[in-house]
Amino acid sequence: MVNFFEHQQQAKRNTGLLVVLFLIAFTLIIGFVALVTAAIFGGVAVQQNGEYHFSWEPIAWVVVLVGGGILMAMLVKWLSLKPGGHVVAESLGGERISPDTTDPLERRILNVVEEMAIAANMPVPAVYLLPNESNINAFAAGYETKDAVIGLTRGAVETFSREQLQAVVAHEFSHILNGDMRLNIRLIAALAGILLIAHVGRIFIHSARFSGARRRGNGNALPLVGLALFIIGYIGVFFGNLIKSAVSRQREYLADAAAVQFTRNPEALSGALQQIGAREHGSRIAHANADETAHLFFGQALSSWLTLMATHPPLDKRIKRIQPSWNGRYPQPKQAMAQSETEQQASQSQPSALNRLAMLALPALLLERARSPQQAPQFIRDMVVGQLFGESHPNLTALTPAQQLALVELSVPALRVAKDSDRLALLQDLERLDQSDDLFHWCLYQLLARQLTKDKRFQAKLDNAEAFAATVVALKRAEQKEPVDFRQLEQALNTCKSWSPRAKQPLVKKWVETVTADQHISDTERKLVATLCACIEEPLPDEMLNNA
Amino acid sequence: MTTGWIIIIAVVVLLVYLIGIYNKLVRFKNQFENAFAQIEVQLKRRYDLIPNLVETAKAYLTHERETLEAVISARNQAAAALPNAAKDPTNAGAMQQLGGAESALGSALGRLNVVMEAYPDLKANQNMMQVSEELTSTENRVAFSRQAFNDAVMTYNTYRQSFPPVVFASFFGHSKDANLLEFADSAEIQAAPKVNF
Repeated sequence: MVNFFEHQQQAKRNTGLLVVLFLIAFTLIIGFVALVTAAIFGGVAVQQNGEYHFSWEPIAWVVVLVGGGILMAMLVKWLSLKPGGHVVAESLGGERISPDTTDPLERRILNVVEEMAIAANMPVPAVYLLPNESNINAFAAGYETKDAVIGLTRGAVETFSREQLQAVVAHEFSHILNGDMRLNIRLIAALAGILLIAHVGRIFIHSARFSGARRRGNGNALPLVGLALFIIGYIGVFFGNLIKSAVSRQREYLADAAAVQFTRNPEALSGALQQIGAREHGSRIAHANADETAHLFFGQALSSWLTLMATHPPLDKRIKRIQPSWNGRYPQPKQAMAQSETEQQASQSQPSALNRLAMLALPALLLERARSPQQAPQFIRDMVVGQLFGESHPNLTALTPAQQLALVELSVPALRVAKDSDRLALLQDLERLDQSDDLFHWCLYQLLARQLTKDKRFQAKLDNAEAFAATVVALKRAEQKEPVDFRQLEQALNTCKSWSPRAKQPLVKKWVETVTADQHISDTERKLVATLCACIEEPLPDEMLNNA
Repeated sequence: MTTGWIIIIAVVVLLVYLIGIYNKLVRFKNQFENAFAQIEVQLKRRYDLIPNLVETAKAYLTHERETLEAVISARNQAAAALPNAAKDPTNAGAMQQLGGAESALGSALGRLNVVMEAYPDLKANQNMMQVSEELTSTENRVAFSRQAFNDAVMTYNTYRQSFPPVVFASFFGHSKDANLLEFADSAEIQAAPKVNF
């Protein structure tokens, strides 16, 4: 049993040591700069009574100057990084997942995030999706708990199981909870300050070269100081970066251990890490802005050829730490998994088919065609559309409506994973069904079209078709003195009201056809149509006026 | 003069340190109390969700009326026991009642799950998938809120018992360890499951 509390303690201790190291390095750099500058300008020794005395005063002045400059640079950098997590998420191309989403995958992420917020005893952060990143990764951002956000790549959302998602989200929660964002922003700001020394050094070197120099006695000291600053600055930045990366790696171990604490499920976290290892590009993030947020991700976001500079420890080390029994082998790559998933989806209808088979006596051959992703689109076209235009195969005409509906229902999983081109072709054919006023055809169309498309425009079209049909059905029922669902009619009329006049005309025409089907227009019918027309703000057609 | 300054500085440092201990104790205590409130919230969410589940399943499970009714009645009992337990978490009787109702509900839901396995149409139903995702999530939330409560209690107790806070804790009014939450049917869970063939 891994003691995750112990691991967290250890990581926190190591971070503390590294931060102290960083501070020492920082002070040393400033001290060096001051010493070198003062020495070159000859201010260290003061002549007094013919003897040279060591003097602190010029050094102190340089320290104040350099320190002030560095503080300014840190402040500027810090302010630029401080804005809330949503700014970071959006700069990475993230889109916020709306809290009332109905998409099953998005719903699942939101639920998982809320679950982990409970486990971590923290407020629920906003959740972002990076729709353009197909690799597996996740991040947390934000300076404080209250403006923190969590982001996941599309690849992560599609690949991880529910439990693996939990582990990854828990890992990100640890980054928020332990203030890793704050720590890192401070380190980055300090590095920016050190980098400033190097920049100033470079400016000194250049300015000396261009000013023609040697106008005064100490004119030649400037490039020398510049060179010294340049070297000290870059050495400082190099070591600062080393320490920063080491801190970042410790925070990863800490977050891994915390994720195990929150989920109590080391296998899930290890599984998630193995998924990354199984992929060629693992957790790489393509977005250009990933640079400054690399330390906030779940896995290594940037390629790094130097393990010392990596923001994340190697995958196998992380896995070993949370699951010592791991055999060192990564699972099969995603391609194979996607394949088997497709097959699984297509065969999901198997048990239900068994039930139907018994009840409806469906021929096995037809069942097979309905369930195959390659054959289903053509099969459904033959059965549904072909029948409408009398081009149907004799085998298919014998089917009862109940059998047809069953076959259509069975084919849905296969249709969903069918090729896009096949599916679109089928949809186009199906639209012809829409023009038929047979109730059964209308049912088939609704059933299929709703399952086959997620396009919003198409959805609106379907809603319109539904409203159209609802008004006609209501008219027919009223004509036969059957009860009418007034609420549904009202809703349908509201939908129709928003149509363009051109779209309304066929509707009114259809109404007139419906009531004149029996060659006679009764008073009630006239009143009804007049009311409906008034409801959708259309003039009453001429046919309804005369013939009184 | 200098000794006077040193004494003043020492007193100020000690005071700041004590304030730190006091605030930390308060923070940890509030954390575990909040964690307890979370459990209640999540249990409630679960009770609100179950009627939806049953309503969705009803259309398909016409022959399983008994199972559905068992779920609903267990849910009603648990929902009735919750306010009593929440009013006074230290009341052992009310807690036990809630624990009993909870485990009855758990087993009724378990039976429903087994029954649902036999109805693939139901499992493939869009609404059902939504409701069962929500229910899974809620079950997780209940478990996680219990776990978070226990973790928070542990943090509080560890801090309270460690040195030096242990010296001052009772003086600051933190004289008792908080209790970990345990299942009322703890003995049952720990017993090995019986399998009959």
